[in-house]
Amino acid sequence: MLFNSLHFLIFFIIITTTYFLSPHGHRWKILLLSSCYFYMTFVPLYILILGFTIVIDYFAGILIERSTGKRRKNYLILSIAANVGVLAVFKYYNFIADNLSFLLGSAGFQESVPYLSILLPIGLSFHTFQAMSYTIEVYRGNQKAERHFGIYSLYVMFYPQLVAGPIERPQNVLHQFREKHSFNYDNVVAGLRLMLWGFFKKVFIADRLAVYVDSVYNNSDKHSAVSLIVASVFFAIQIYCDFSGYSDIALGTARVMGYKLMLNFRRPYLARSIKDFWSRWHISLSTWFKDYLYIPLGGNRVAFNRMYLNIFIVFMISGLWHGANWTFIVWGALHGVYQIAGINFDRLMQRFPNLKFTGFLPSAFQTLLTFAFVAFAWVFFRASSVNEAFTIVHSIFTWKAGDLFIGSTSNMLYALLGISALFVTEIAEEFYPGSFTLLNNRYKLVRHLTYAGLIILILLFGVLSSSQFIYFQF
Amino acid sequence: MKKTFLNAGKSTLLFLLILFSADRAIGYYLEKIYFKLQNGEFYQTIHALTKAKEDILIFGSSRAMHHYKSHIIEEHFQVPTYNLGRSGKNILYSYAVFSQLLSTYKPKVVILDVQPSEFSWKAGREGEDAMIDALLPFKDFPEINKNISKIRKSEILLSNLFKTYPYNTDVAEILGYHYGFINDESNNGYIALKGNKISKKVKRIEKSEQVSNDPELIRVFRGFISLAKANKVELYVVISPTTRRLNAGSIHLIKKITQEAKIPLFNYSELPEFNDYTLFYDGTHLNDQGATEFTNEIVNKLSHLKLFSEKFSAKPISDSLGVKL
Repeated sequence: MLFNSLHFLIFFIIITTTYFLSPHGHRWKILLLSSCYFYMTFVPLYILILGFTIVIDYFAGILIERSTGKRRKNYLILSIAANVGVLAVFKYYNFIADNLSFLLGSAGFQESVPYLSILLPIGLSFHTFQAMSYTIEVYRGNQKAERHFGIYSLYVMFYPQLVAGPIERPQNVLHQFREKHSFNYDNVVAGLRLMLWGFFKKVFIADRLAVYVDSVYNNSDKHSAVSLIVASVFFAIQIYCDFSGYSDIALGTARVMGYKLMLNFRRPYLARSIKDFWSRWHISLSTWFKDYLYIPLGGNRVAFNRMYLNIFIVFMISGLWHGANWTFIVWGALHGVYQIAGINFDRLMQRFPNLKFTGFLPSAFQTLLTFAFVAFAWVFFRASSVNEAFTIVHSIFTWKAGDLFIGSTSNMLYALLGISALFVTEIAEEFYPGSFTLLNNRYKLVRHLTYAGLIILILLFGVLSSSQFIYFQF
Repeated sequence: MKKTFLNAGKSTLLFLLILFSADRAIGYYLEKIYFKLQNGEFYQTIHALTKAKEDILIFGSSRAMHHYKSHIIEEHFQVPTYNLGRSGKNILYSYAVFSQLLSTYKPKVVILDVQPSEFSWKAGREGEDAMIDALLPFKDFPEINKNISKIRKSEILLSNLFKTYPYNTDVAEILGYHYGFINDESNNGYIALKGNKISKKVKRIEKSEQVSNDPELIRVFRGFISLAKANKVELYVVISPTTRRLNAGSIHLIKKITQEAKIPLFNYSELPEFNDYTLFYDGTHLNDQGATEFTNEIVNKLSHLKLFSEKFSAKPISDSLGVKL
């Protein structure tokens, strides 16, 4: 079930109403059942995979808590191995088989590794990582093992964030499932407002940009440098609106029922460095990698060369997390290189303490430069193969001649309208917090006019064919 | 608590009042100017469903719209002719429009232009969206309503709830046509493509792999034939010239179905006479010159058909390419 479908709207109204009308003691059952239904609308059978990891991690949590010493660690390893194993089979097996077959072929062997004919369970990487954070936190003693199987299942399966995050931590969410959430008008309004803004970003901006991006990227060899640049910039905005739109709807859906999920995006394209970008983009994943991989590897409390290696490993794995394709690995590696270059640049700048980049122009330049680097890396993320990505990069840098492809003029017009609305809103939120706000305006009439205006804009200009969210595939 | 609910109720009412007032006002305005349009793609559907009275009608996609010079056919046979083709539409759209149109009058002849890849899955998915987008403003017409509901009932529900919804995505074009920023000169529904974008000699792109066909599209194609037969409308199926043959599977099926139904099929997609790139605007569309030659070809072909010449007085065209089908 997609968030941007009528099916979800009806589901949301029914579940939220039933939730508030039910006694507190039964609410977890309603949420769990509805989450099962939500997940099963994709591929029903795959709930068994989810069930498998839930059972393993539930018992692993209890056993870790009860045990001491090496045994404790063994249970953690067992839990992580089960989760990573599921990921390896369903997400990475065919990729590994493909590369092994290529290597065998290159070495002169005629045999190839057989493929598995399986579909990737939707949101697998998200709920697997969320499940792993639970057993790790129990192992670290930061979280008590959950004894209630239903509540633990709900922690993994809570439908707003089940298929595309945010990747929650047990300390933030588990206790919320036990608390009583009375109907709170402010929460309902705040949640619906977030959902509306999320829908707007998805169907008005992301899906509109997708029309142009797909036209250019699906025939990238036929397009000029200028069209490829515009498509790449559009894709950077598309993926942001697609994913942050999903996160907003997830946060809003949970908020209506009184649950507070972690913030996943904080105006990432206004970042002034790559480091800053990663503190604003997919925050739940970047903090996951920081807490559970980067710091255990030694973090930055090691020699510089080791730290660089740690950063590189983390970003390569982050790339691989997104998908079983070399394009994602190159995308991750590029961000690793950016980070290392950024650290070295900062170290270099420390030698010139009097040199300061402050004021509007230097800040705007830094923001634009950061965006350019990020957008460049997205080329690899969007391209269907590394070869195609290099062809696009080559066409851009050798300035392949040709006119700017417009496609549908009206589509371009709507896309530019959407981008303008996004950036005006984000700039206002970033630099003038609390001022010039329409959605949170203190006058009720202005707020209502804004809500109605957004809905009318969605109805008139949104792409309403229920297209899938990009991050669902991860 | 009671006060909170009261405030929430008042607030919700105010919001709904603003939303539905704005939606109604904008929706009525768009509806008014939409049905007043006199040219362009939207007019093709407006004409088909509210004004068509012609004896010869041409159905199909952009390839129909840009390939059949309806005024040439009209002048030759002295019979009112109209080209109802619309860009991006497939058999789903043609069927819905044809079935609605038959409830008001019966044309004598229908030329249905189909694509070599008419039944491919991709065409099916895109065709559904395209059909719904184009026909939602006409959702109150019984056959249109039935055809949209068959695919997505929710579209009718949303259109009934929000007056603006049927005009989703089309606003800029509707305003453009209405205020004269866009003007597609149409001659009895034919819209010309001038010049050509193909710089090289036409190379036929042959794809050997079979693209899987959508059974629903095949069913609707058969339905179109049955509808014509049941209403005694003479039907001719045409695959007009193209530089691409992407799905041999559809052509084979079109041949088989038309043969079974004893419906004439003119397949111009494989003929060398239309290999001349100067006749094409792009890979799949003829330009104005190509459309003239192709329409003359069609006229010539129809003139020689016994059934057709019995209905209309036909005279042979001297400048035709003399294509043997």
